Amino acid sequence: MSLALLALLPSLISSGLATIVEVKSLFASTNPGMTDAELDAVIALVVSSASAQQKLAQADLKSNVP
Amino acid sequence: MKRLILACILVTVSACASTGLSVKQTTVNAFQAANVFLTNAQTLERSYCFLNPITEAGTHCTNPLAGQIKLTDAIHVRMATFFNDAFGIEVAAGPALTAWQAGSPVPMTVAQYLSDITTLLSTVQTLDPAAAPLVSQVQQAANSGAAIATALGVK
Repeated sequence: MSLALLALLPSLISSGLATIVEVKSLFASTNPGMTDAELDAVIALVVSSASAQQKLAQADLKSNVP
Repeated sequence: MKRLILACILVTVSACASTGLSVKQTTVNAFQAANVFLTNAQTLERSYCFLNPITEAGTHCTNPLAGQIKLTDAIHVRMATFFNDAFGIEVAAGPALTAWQAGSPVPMTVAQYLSDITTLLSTVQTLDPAAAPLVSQVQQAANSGAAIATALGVK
């Protein structure tokens, strides 16, 4: 990853333009030398995020009509 | 617009860096991108449906905007069902991807995933043009799903 892009990341995060997951994705896609352990850490992050989003979807399948 | 710029940066960097990546890393990249786009799509859909998406949930949309873009309660339930299934597939695929070694059989039902995401895409395309950002996110999630299929050699 270029230094210019690295320097840009804090401002992207602070301005709300990038979520942590998106930044992690950026790192994963620009680091060709990731080890299996690093990739597994990324997978764990995605699974954790997906699990939280799935709970939201399940809540939307329950009636909220009084 | 700002998100569009960021998306362009991400796509450009990804394209530049994709050469020479291992199959597993390419798959993880697409897996992660699909999660981002699906999350964005769900967040958008819920913001159209609920006046306060942080505190509200359920089958009935409370935001007047939902009616304006033809997001009926029935469509909202279909989309919530899809998101439940799609994120469930991601959760289930995680351990399989972790254990997966390149050259081994494909660990996830990519075809079913692609079928489900295509169904969602056709559903959101029935909404009003005002829902274009939502359609865009689902389209990009579908593209990421296709990238997974390509990386795993099933397409």
